[in-house]
Amino acid sequence: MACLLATPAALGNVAAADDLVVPRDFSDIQQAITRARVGDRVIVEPGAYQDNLRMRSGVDVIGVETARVILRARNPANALVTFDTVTGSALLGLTLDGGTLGVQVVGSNGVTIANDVLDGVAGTAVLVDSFSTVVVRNVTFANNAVAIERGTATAPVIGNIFFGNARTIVAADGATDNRANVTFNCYFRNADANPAFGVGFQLGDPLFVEPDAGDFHLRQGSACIDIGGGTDAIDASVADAGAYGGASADADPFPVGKPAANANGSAAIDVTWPANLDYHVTSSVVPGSYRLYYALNDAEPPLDGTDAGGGTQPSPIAVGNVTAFTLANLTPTVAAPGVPQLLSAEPRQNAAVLSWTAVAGATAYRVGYGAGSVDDNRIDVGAVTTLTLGGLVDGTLYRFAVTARAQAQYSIAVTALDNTPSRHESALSALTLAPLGDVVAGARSNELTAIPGPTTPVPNLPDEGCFIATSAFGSARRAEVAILRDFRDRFLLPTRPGRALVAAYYRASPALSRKLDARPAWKPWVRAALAPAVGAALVAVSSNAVEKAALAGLLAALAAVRVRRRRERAREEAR
Amino acid sequence: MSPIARSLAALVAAAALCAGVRIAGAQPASDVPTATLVAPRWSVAVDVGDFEPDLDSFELFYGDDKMTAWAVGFAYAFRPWLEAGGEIGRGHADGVGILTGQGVPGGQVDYTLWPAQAFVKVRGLFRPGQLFVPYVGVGLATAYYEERIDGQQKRTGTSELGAGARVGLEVYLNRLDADTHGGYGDGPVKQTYVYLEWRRFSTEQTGAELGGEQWLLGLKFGFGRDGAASRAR
Repeated sequence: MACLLATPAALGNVAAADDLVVPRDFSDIQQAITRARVGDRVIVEPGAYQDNLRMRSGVDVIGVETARVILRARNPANALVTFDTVTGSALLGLTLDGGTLGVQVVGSNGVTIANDVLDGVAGTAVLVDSFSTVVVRNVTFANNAVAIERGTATAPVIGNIFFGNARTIVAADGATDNRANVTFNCYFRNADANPAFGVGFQLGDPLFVEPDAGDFHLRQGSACIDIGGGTDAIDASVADAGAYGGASADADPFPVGKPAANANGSAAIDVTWPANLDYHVTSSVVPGSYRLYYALNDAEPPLDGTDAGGGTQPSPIAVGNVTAFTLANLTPTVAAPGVPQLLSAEPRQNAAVLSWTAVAGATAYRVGYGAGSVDDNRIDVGAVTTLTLGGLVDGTLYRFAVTARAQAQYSIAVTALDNTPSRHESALSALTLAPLGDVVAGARSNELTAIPGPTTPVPNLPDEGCFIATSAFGSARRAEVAILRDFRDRFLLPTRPGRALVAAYYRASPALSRKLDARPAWKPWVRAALAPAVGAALVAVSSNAVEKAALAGLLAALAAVRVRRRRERAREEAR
Repeated sequence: MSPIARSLAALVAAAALCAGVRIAGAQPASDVPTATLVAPRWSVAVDVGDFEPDLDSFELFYGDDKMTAWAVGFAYAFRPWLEAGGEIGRGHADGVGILTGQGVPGGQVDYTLWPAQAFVKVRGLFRPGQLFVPYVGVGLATAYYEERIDGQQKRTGTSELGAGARVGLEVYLNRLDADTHGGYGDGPVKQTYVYLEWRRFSTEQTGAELGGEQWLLGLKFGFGRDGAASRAR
């Protein structure tokens, strides 16, 4: 609410046009659209949003990064975005993912749909009625049933990529569109029966970088480079087709994947990262480059470390067009951590559960314990504040204490820069943490004691267990019994019929197991009879869904073959 | 007087009250409404409320002397005033046990009880569309239990067969709003009651009493013929 009140649009007393930023100013996009006034822009920061947007006159919705501003339908039956009797409005820089209808334009004028990605729409990606004036420019249409359905051929379709759509552009009545005002588009792997590509088109693979990850940037050699008409905002050349071409394209490269970092000795870290395959970065003529950001003992941006290269390589380091770099001559220093307080040492059967307070700067803890002294044994754990310590002897008094430990830790991230004079830079990759150098220990905590032992529940009820199996196999600890028990717990007890079955079994089995105990000669027969059940339970508890499905399919196939053979035999006998 | 004896006394008193109301409500043959007193044969009920186990130390180990419980059941009406049915419920509590050897509370215990009961109910239903319907019932009870103890093997089992009793009051919602079941159109639900029920059951396992006392608020849906409701209008 404070955020709302602080927003100029919410106050309603600011005359100038405003940028309403989602989610900084408004929690969702529609809320911002609703509160915007004519001339305002709704700026959407990277994130996945679930909504069905209704656009308003004079209000543009602009994604900050096309690939990372993702809109999915809250109600899949409705259009993701609707322009209904809207005038002068634009939808720019968003990825519209899935749904049954992408963008619907009804009775609207001056609508611009540009630099968006419409991916995997089950119906029509952009649906325009016969009364609207719309420009569809630099949009990537991928894997939709119908990319564009126009009620009027006066809606220009310029500089788009059509990839993997069942149909590209059709007339509103379902007929093949006449392709009037269709210019400079790029087509590949669409299933149109009778396509007409318009003017200045290109046929060929767009070579998207990684569409499954939402990255529809173009790789080097893409057929859709420099064919879109107009000028690119990114490199000032002829515009590329698709979402990353044209005057209003999002210029920043897609973020680099999370780097890997490994200590190399006590003062160096080897860092590697996956390449960004955008042709603006990989170009063999004028390549882009990468920057490596790092910080010591600080995981929050800005990553402003200063000690690499003996102090000569402050963050960020321009590492050139490489995907590996060694941060060398580092000075990993860390202050000794404070003293944790051991809060509790609760006894369990052959174990104790310890909990302690967290200490600022601690990257790990060492737990000391023993019957005589806390120095008898020690165990190192990570940055946790609870530990269940097993292997203890019931009935013995143990002492426990905790020591905080700290090790210098570098936070590392990488960005990609394109090859343009502007050197557009991607957002930071995900952070990688790399510990380095000697571990520094703080002072020991207070001591607590506990005597491990079993817990008796209240009420103290017996475990009736798997009576028959236990009796047949001789021990409740046998693997066969454990498998049946596991099957009971995982597959029967969670369901009502399963619980009823277990309850019925528990009612009947004690008497049967007593009879079995009285007649040991029966036990091998019972074990043999239980073997299929144990085998089936083993498959159920130890296989994943795919393996189960494969096994079920195999059994079904065997059964089908057997039935068929039996029928054939019966037919032969009938003859 | 033990809790069970108290409960039985309350049950007998309620039964007597119910029977008394029946006798007092009886009318001469000439005054009996021409509408026949019928009710749906089958009904299902779902209720939720408190379950207070008959364990003196329950609060010490589980932090409360009650646990939230729910149950679902069905019944068949042999007569409008006589039903038999069954139900299964669930109660759950998280707490601690006793640290063996030290004799103090400790350890983590999750206690879950699945009581199951079969019952016969006598309902004080005298005329079609009667707004308030008191009832009493008796039956058999058992329970499936599960005790999850931190770091130890889970304990499960079923208690011995015990007894249960219940007293309650149903409010006939169709009478308050004749279209209560109208929202279902021609669906199978013909009568809807909301009810408040006091229930007690007793079932033991190796000497430990798993039963207790319950107060439940529920909804009961009658299926099939709608004689009582339609004639009441």
